[in-house]
Amino acid sequence: MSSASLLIELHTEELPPKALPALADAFAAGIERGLRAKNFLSPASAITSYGSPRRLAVHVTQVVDAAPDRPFRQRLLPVAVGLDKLGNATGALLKKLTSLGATIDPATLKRESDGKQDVLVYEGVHGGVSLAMGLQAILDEAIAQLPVPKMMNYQLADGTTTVQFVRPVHRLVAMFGHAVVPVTAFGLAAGTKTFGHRFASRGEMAIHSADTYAEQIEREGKVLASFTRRRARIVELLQSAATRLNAQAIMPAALLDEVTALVNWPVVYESGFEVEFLALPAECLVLTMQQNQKYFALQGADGQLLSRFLLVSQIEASDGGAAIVAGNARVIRARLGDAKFFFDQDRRQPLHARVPGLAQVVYHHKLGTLSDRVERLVNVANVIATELGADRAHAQHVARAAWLAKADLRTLMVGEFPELQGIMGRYYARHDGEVDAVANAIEEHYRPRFAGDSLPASMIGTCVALADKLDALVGLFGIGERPTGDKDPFALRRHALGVLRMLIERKLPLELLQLTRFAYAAFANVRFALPDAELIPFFYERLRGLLRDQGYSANEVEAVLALKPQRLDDIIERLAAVRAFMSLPEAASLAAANKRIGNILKKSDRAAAVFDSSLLVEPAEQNLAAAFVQLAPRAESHFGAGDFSAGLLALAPLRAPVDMFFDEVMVNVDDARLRGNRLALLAQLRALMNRVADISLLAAG
Amino acid sequence: MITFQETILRLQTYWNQQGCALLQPIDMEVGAGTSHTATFLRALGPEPWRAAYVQPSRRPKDARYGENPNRLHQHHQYQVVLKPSPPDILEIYLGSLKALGIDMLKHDIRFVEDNWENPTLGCWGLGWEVWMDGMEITQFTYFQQVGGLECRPITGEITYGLERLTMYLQNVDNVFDLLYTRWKDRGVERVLTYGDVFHQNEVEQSKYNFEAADAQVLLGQFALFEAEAKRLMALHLALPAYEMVLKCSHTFNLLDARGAISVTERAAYIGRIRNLARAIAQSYFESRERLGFPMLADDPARNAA
Repeated sequence: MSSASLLIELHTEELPPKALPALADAFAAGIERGLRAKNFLSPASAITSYGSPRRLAVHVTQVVDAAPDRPFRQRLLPVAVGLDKLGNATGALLKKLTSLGATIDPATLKRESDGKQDVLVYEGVHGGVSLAMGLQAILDEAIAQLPVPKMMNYQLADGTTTVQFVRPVHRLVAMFGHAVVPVTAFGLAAGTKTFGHRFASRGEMAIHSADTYAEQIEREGKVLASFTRRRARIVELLQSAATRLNAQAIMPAALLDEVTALVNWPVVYESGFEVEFLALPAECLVLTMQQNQKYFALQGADGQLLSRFLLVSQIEASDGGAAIVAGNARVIRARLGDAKFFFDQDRRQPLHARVPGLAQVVYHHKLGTLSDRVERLVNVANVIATELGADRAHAQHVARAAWLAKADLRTLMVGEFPELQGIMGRYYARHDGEVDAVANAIEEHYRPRFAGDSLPASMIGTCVALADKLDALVGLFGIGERPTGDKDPFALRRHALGVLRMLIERKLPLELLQLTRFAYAAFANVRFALPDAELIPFFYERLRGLLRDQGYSANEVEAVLALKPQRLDDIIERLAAVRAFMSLPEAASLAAANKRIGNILKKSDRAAAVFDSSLLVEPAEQNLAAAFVQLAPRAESHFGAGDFSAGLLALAPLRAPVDMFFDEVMVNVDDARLRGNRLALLAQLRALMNRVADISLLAAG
Repeated sequence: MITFQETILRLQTYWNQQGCALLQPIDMEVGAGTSHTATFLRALGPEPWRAAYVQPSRRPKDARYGENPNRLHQHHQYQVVLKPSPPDILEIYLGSLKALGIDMLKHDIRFVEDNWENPTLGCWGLGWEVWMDGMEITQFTYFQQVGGLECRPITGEITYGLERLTMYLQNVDNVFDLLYTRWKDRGVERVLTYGDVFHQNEVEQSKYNFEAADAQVLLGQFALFEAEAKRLMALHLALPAYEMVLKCSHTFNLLDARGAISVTERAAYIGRIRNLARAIAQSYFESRERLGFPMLADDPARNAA
């Protein structure tokens, strides 16, 4: 047995850039998993993954050429079943051995006791399979497990055999040291041949050995095959180019990933556009550069955008890049020329003049036009503002912002760049002379636009944002358009999360059910029932996920949500209190007791509302009642002041009396008066303990 | 400098060398070369097929009265279809860029994922936009489904935007400034621009699309073409029925540009066209099947030298 490095490469047509990093990682992980499961790895084996536009590859060091032999032993049958009286194998034993593929003489089988009887034991050695034999299944499995976003069918070179993969595969390299491992995939037999850069390399090249792969691909192939190295190189090149321009490159992680997946050999060039285009909104410039053209925008020390940008190509051009720089400048000039035309045209008509036109845009055929929607937004945002105690000036701003909120959907710019909805509204509102509070709220009402996005900064923006999301949720749930599975075409999950985050993070004293009623009331002309039976649980489901994502345990979240809190402004305090309570030494016992009380009450008749101390006969129940009477007012005053942690901590001394009560007192006695009184005491106790959360859900087991 | 028509000529020469039948455009209003029977119907079934052609493509909504340097009511596509898609189809395609004089060590050519879908015709495929120095010059698609039918074998479709490509090659920023052709007239150099050929058409067609088109007439036509398509389908006349569907599709595009179709109605119209397109795809496939797929290569007469 000897060991060497293993290299496997699938050489393909250009892979989808957004999927490439995951495909490369999964390919390497799949091969590693397979090698490990079949004992081809040694403890010191190192795995390197490669992913470039046209290849997925993995290099593994210290792979053995044959898996080690593995001794095994297996109990077969009781001796009495496996051998007849003469000691010959029975039919049952022979059948068993055949099914195992064993060729052993039954007479040589060992015997041992399984504690009850003697059994026959089959011992032997599984010969380790050779890498050449074992690799095929490992490769097949690794390929089958790849997270391909969308499979394509294509035909092999024969023109008829159909296979499926993310893009056509053209070469398979599988080398163990210097030798080819004879595996196949996608109709290709493994070899040493592959290709480098489409343009900068000299065509087909032969890999000498697994260990020279990366170096050869880089030097001869002009491909930096490692995704992480290529990405780091791009960052380095961008930074040094930006520094030369005395600027900073704006490098969003997603754009870096995408560009890394689009180039084999990063070469950064600087290009630019006419200074006059800087009059366009910065968001529009950045969007055009990043999304349409995959460019890296530059900003000066003052944070202002420059009219220069960096582009990552994959050609060390023979003319020094003049054609590439000029070509890209022409493309962006045309795009920004369009944008500037839209921006200039749009500003000729004030935003408010576009509002009537919303009547021509259908929002949803069952929920009317955007004009109907805006009317509802004004209405609901106003009700919310009133609930929050807005003064008259604020209320007017809320109404104005809600009325203008969707007007930019009628502008050319938003027609071309839908991502700029709200943002263009803010620019145009400012241009029209709307007050800043209104202009900002127009932009803010779409927030949060994605997970982790910031909330509206102003209360005016918050009111409109809540109205916007509640209108969508209540309306679309009302007509039965609720999300199913992974289909959520109206982004209702995101809307619900937005509502929850605003209620929690802005500590708004508003109730969920009440909010849905506000939104429902605005649907004057649409007939459907308030969808609260579906919508409220939908909110709680999102809330559960939101809180879990924030690091609260399932028990903590369930305990708090069990009370179906209507207001969420204090939910974080409740969770903190539960957490503090659970760290007490008394907590486990009290939680268990609470659960027990819950079970008792569930099985019992209705208890009286308040216990009667004259009916307390046992010392343990008198003791518990006394402790309760003493602690309750203190705990209540903490709860009343919103100090949930202090309230729960104040209950800790109940542990001993509660434990004693359950040790010494029988609740379900025959005397109905005593029984009822005990149940009342327990019910009061439970209610006090569960003011913050359902403590019983914190009990172990 | 390469003229607009020389771009076409070089592509014709190149794809002729690749064994493509050089066809003429479909003589009807279509939005893209994909709608030509040489693509839409020939992509169906097992018979091999190689064709290339220019296709004038009408997009009523993109009309700009001849005032926008990049957008046109009617542009021209150069369409290539290869079935089955040869394993080296991308290399063959890059050869066509070389034939156009593009130096790939000077320009940044990239294949950027772009999956194509045409819900109106029940088609989808996977592929790329081909970028040259940041500009899309070609759409490349491996057809996966056409008219709702699974493609087997798949067709590789290459679509060049002729105006864009030539604008780049001529270093021109306004489509109407493109050099269409040039010649010597009694020793004097003369030129014909793209604007000379098409500008008036752009202006008048834009007026028609946005102002003069009569929505009621168009709605009536749509209903008529749809009914005809169904009638012809019942007679197993897939090709004439398909032409009726193309008329439906173009009429819908005109109505859409005219703003005569609301967002919700839009989906319903698309659905009606799709259902027809699917039925026709099925019917065409069956008609070829009835004929025993005559173009399959096992006919010795076809394999003669």
